[in-house]
Order: sequence, then C-alpha cells, then structure tokens
Amino acid sequence: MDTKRLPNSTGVTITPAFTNVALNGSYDLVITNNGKSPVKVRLDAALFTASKSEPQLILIKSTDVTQSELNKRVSFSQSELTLEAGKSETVKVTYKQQTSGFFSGALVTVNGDLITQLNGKDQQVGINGQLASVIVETKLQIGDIPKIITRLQVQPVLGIGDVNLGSEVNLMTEILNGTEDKILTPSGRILGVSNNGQLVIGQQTLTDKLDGKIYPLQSKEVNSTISDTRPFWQRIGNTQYLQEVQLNGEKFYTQRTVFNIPWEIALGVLVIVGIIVVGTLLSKVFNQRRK
Amino acid sequence: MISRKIFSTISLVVIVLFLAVTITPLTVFAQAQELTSTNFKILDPNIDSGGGAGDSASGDYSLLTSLANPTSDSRATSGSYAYTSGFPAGIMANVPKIICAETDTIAGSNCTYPNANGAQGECGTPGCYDRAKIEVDHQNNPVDTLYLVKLTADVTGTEYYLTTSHTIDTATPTVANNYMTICDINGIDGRTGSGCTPNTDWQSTNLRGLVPGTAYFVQVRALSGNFTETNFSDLSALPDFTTEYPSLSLDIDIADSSGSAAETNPEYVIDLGVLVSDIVQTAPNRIWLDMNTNSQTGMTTYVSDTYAGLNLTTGSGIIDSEDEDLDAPSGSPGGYGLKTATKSQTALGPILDVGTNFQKVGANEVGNLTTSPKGIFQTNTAGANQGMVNNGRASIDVKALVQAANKAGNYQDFIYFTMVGTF
Repeated sequence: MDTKRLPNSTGVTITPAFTNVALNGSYDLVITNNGKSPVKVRLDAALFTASKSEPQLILIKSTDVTQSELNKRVSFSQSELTLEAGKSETVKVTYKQQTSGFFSGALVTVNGDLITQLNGKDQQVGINGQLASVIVETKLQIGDIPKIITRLQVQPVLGIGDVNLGSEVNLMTEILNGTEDKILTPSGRILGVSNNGQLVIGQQTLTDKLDGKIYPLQSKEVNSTISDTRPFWQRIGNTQYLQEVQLNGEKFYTQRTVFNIPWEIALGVLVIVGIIVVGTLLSKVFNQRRK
Repeated sequence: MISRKIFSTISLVVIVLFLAVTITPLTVFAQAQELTSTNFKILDPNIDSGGGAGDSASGDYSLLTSLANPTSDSRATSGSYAYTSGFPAGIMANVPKIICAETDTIAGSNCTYPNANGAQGECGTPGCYDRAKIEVDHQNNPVDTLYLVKLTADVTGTEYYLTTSHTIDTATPTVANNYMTICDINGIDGRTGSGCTPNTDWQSTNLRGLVPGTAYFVQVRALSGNFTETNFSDLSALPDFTTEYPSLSLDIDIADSSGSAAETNPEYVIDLGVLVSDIVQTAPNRIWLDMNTNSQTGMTTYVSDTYAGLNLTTGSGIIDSEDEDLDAPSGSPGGYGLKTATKSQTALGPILDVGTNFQKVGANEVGNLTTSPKGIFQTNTAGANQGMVNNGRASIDVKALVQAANKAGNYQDFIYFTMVGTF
C-alpha cells in the first residue's frame, strides 16, 4: 500500500536519533550513507542537557568527564567505519553507566578527523558533520516522583464563586516536570463522578490534548470541558472530578469536588424568596394604611 | 381587601408557573411484551411475511417489504459486500476500502495531503515515525455511515483500533470511542449533505501514537444503521505501511554562493587562500548544509571548532575567532568567524538562525567559533513553526582577517556541525 520511496535526503542519516533504553540495555544504531561516495564515520559517547527555557536538548562538552571516561559509559560494537555510497551499517550501542542530571548518547562524526587530509598550504578549514543519537531513560525513579506535579482546576462555566449553577465545568490540567533528566510522555483522563461515586457523568480524554512530550523543567497545560447532562434535580449536591494522569507508566491522581445548585433550583428559591419579601412589604404597607 | 385578593392571586399564579417549569412531564413506558397499556392497545400483533405490498382493508396504508435485489443495486456489484436476509441483518453497508496508508512518501503519493510533498512534507524527512496517513473509501455508503479502522502490528499481531482522538488503542471498540464518519477520519468529505468541516490536521496525518519502526496492516469496516455492520476489508498480503524511526540527516556541500543545488563529495575543505594583511578575506566557497529531520519538536545544529581560531600549522600562533566586525577589528590582532548567508526548505520548518550567534548585519561581521558547541541553526515549534523539516538547506560564509601582528605562515582549523533532535 505504501509505495516505499527513497528518503528524500542526502548525506548521512542516523536512526534512531532518540531512543528509550534502560541502563545496561542496548539498541541498534543504523547509519546510512545517502551520498554518492564513501564516507568515514567515527562514534563517540556524548552528554546532553535539557534547556531550562524551552523543550530542547543541548550538546555539552563536559569539563569534568574526559572523553575516554565518557566512552566507558556508552560503548559501541565498532567505533570507526567506512560507509560505501548508498549503504547502511548497524552499530550496537550499549548504555552502561548513568550520568546523573544528564542524558547520554552517541555522537556520529562524519569524515572524522581531517588533519591528514589538509595539505598544509595556505589557510584551510576542515568541515565535519556530527549527528546525535540521544538515549532517554523513561522509567521514573522514586526520587523523581516528588519532582513531578500534576494539578487540576475546576471552574464552573455558570457559577457564583465555587458553586456550580450550570451543567458545564471548565477543567485546567497542569503537569510540571521538575526532573532534570526525565522526559515525560503523558496520557490521561478526567472523570466526573456523581456524589455517591457510582455514576460517571462525563469524562475527558487528555491524551490527544497532551500531544507530545514534557521536557525537564517544562510544564504543559491543557484545557477541557465536562458537561453534566443529568436532569437538574439529579445534579444537586457534590460532583467529584478525578484526574488520572499517566507519566512514563506511573499514575498520578488529583481530585476536586464542586458543589452544584442548578440554576433552575436557584431561580425557584429566588422567586419564592422574592414573593415572600414582596408579600411582606406589601402586607406592611397595607397594615400601615389601615392604621 | 380587594388588593389582598389580587396579591394572593398573583402569588398563586407565580407558584403554579414555577411548579410548571420545574416538574417535567411524566413518561409512560410500555414493555415490548405488552400489547396494551392505559394509553394504547395493539390490535393485531402479527406482521405479514412481506414479499410485496400488504394493503390494509381501509386503504389507509401499505406495508411495503422487499427481498433485496443485489443486481439492481449499483453498490453491490463486487465480492466486497454482504447481504443477509431476515431480521436483524437486513441489507448491510458496503465494505469500505483503504485508499492509501503512508508514512514516507514524497510528491505523487496515493494520499492527498495539504502539502505537495507527500508524507515527508507532513512529517519531515525520512517520514513519520509515530504517525501515518490513511484514507478510507466510503464505497458509496451514505454520508452518515460510521467506520471502524483496525490496525494489526505485523510481528506481534497486536490489534489496535483507531479512537476518535486519532490515537490507537487495544480496548474493545465502541461506537462512542472508535466509530467515525468519513469526514472525521479523512478530515474531508466533499459529498453533498456530509456537513463536513475540513480538518487539515487529519488530512495531514490521522493515525497518531504509533510505534516507530513497526509494520502495520490496516482494515476498515462500515456501520450504517443498527445491525448493519460489515466485515472488515480484506487483509493485504504485505503490511500496508511501516513507521520510520526518529531520524536526523545532515549533508555538507562545499560550493560558491550560486551552489544552492550543488552536491559535493567529502572531504569537505574550505580554502581561504592567501590572506593579505588588513583585507577581510571571504572564502570563495560557502559551507552548504542539508538538514532533515522528522522531529516534531525540532532540532538544533551546533557548531564548534578545534582551536577557537585559525591555528598556525608550524610553530605557535593563532588568529582568534572573535565575535566582531572584521571591517573594524577589536581585541586580539586579526579575526576569523562565520556568518550565515541563506536558509531555505521545501516544506515544514522553517530553518531559523539561533539568535544572532552567526546572523550578523555588517557585510564582514562574524560570529565567533568556540570549542564548546554554539547553536547556529534550528527548527522549533514557536508560533506556527513546525519542528520537522523537509529538504532544509542553509549556507555559511567563512571570513578571516590577518593583521601585521599575526605571525606569517599557514593556518588551519576544524569545524564541527552537530545536529541534535528534540523528539
């Protein structure tokens, strides 16, 4: 069905450029030479950190860890190879040691070291390309849990203060990733549950709205709405809104309760009170006139 | 006294009105087994077997029934329909078909996309890694027919159903969670009466949350009215599509300023030629970078060098790389650096400069190279930007200046462009 086409690119392609691997796990890194002549490739371990201002991974050069030390943390089945034109090679990458607060990965350098190729005449600059394959551990550790915050705000569309007079509530979900080295893949839902906890009166799936990952020190907000379609007399009382967010396999729950006085009831009470007040006033006026 | 009576009457009317508003009408339920109730009576519970017109004695109505005649139904001409007689099967909808299922196509693909560059124009190069595009052929079923899309992973055999949020799920499908119209699935339905508001998101990719590097089979079934659900469409002999992996591609070309389409082979060397004192030298050739990714969040290309300047090949001496206008050099003698020149892409992106690191105003103003990586180009998702990019290409000028204080001799440096994706 899918007419396979050649990738619409030239140069060198690496896949996967991003992978979820647990400590001591490994993966196959495929390096493809899309060009028309052979290329030399070298693999090195590398460290990455997350930007504090935007979802972005930054390549860093660690001053504390030497390259040879880094290479002990991520190893390769072969670290230097020549790729013929149009060919792919697979290198097994093994993630052997964690560097706290950082992401590890492989740096694929195309053309490697050009010193021998420069002829030493005039002023020359050798140009190299590098591609990063980043390893991301998904499993949350115990220490990660307190750094992750999930919030739920419930605001009636028609209400006085926190009292819901209508049948709709606006929901605002916020997920904050306070970790430095975990990328969160969120999914979840919000359930509206009746006062006795037996009846689900509505639900909102958050998964499609939370499309995408949450990077370290980043947060994500999602707005949604739940409508309570029950008759107004069944809406009197409390409704619970239960938010279930799943992050990298761990579930985080948040619950909010909203008190409902449907506007039909509120209006009825208002009318009766009005009648009593007006009646009392009129009664007093008549009484005064008689006197 | 009269006023009191009027007041009492008004009060009574208001209370009656309030009660009328708040009390809903009573509903009378009759069980199917019952032929009579307090409100109605069924006189004759028998229904004729049909096969023609059953006229009433009064002539007030005709009960028309018919056994279907497949040959007179233009929709029922292939082996892809099913007709089952008798209640509750009735006549079924036609079995729909999958028109296309794609992840990595380019221009001229079978699916119709908002862009002209196929799946790679929607997901970046080399294609979609956790998304795909399918189109369902309604096979002339009515516009309100609902369709259920099933995916089967090739190796594991796991069955998934497309949900109304366009993710896939293994849960047992329900009408509310999984069945959609052609408009909801394809993002467009131009038929009269469809009432379809086109959705370019679903015209772009309408399967989300797929596993990278996985082959899938796709099938679809139709439901038009109760009890009329078709079988799934035929299973293809080979998987209908395979998802790509998160990918990065980088190509370097060395060519002059007219080389926007140039393709050159390694080794990649920029020759600055002979540097003349106090004259800014721009290398005759530019560095051209082809950058492609299917990263939905974007990528950053960093640049670093070996010496933080041009280094003397014999003896010691360096022309420092400085963030400066080489026409008015400051700091250490001479200077050397990069200045971005052009940026383009076929689709998505766009390719952007990273701040003003190397995007300079002056003709000979350059950004400095350091041994630590500095961002030079990026794609991101700010505003209407898309992280993925299809055929991104950018060029960079290399500029240098020597002054009398710089030692004579040959200088060299090694520049590294490093592409990092944010997936």
